[in-house]
Amino acid sequence: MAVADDGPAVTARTRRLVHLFLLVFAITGMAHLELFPFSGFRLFSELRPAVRHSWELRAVDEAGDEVPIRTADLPLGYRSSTLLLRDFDDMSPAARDEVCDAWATPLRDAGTVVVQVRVYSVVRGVRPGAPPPERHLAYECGGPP
Amino acid sequence: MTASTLEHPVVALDRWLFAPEAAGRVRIMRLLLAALIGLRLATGPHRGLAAQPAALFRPVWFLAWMDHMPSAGVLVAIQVVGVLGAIAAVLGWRERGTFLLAWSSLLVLAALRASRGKVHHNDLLLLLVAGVLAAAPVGLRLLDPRRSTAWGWPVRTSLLVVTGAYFLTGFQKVVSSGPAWVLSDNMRNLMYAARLDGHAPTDAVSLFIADRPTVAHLVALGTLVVELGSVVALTRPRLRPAFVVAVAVLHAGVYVTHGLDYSMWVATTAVVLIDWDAVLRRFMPPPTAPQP
Repeated sequence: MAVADDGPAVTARTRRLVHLFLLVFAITGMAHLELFPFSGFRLFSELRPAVRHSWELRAVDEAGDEVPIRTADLPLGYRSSTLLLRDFDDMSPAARDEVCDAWATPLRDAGTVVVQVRVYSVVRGVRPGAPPPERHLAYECGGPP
Repeated sequence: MTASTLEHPVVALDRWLFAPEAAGRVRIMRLLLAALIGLRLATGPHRGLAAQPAALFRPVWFLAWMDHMPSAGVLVAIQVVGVLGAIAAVLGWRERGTFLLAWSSLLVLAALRASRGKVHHNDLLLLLVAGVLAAAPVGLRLLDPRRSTAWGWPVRTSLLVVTGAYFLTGFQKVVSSGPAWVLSDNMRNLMYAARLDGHAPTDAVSLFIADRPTVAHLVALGTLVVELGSVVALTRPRLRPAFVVAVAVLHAGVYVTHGLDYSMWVATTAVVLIDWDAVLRRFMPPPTAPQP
């Protein structure tokens, strides 16, 4: 038959650490803070409208033709990287060029001569029968290697 | 409000947190979490991070000293060391150190994965709960029926973290979007947009929901009920198996409609909310009590 408490005593230090852990967990969770691995737990929390804003990346080759860069098809390190575009307005031109050249790296490694990267802002309806996506050039960046 | 009325819920929470639990439950929780960490490390796509150019690297706070992703060799080495640590922890060999090694490996690899400008929640629940168990007492045996507060706080802190994570996920929906999260076309738009991403194994389920407004509202309502209902799972232990089933259905739905893998959330929830020590005890005789 088990007895009420036959283990070692819980030290005051352990109690304080448990309290601190739970406090950080609660504060980050309630206040939308990301302090990895603590989280603000924003999973699908924002309302989704019927139109969606996204980005399209296109590399420009020597002949001036555009070649799509689909980060979702690239290695894991590239995926989701278009989220960096949220901060593009605050970046210096040199920093933007570095990011755009990074996106062009797989194409360059495959032998394509990329002279520039164009970033398009795309607005499209998500419902069936929505009009064609509206696309406008937001940034031109990167340069010849 | 006086200090004493403020103190009362904190004292009550503290008393609940540091109530006795069986030593065997801590041992089996750590064993199962180590197995999950080993599985995650062995099957995770972390090696693909190595190809990332430095300009795309946005490290999380504790990796801010790094200026680029580690090489594939380093990533694989972390994986291998972590898997070996997880195997040793499952076997109970130098449990504290090997479990910490496995947990640290997953923490670093998951942090590197999150160092792409976007938080990835897939491993967070496992990391948080395993972080609690990493600090729990070691040297315990399976089916050990001795009860103590020393073995109570790891179990109960883990219960708070799991149910709290689900509650906060629902809470953020309510705070950010209010009733419109259920009552507007939010869920229909979410489901229609899923097909544009192309990650889901099929579009049939998301379109089935999106094309039927009533079904979409019910799915949204059901999601919130499960997430906010985690409080009930915390306070009513008999309902915990039902909650595990509910979150399994919820995350299966997210996978089928969006292709997002939250299997580690389901597995971690099952490890923590189901008393596997009690389940084992039903089928196996307890070992001889350890000599003092």
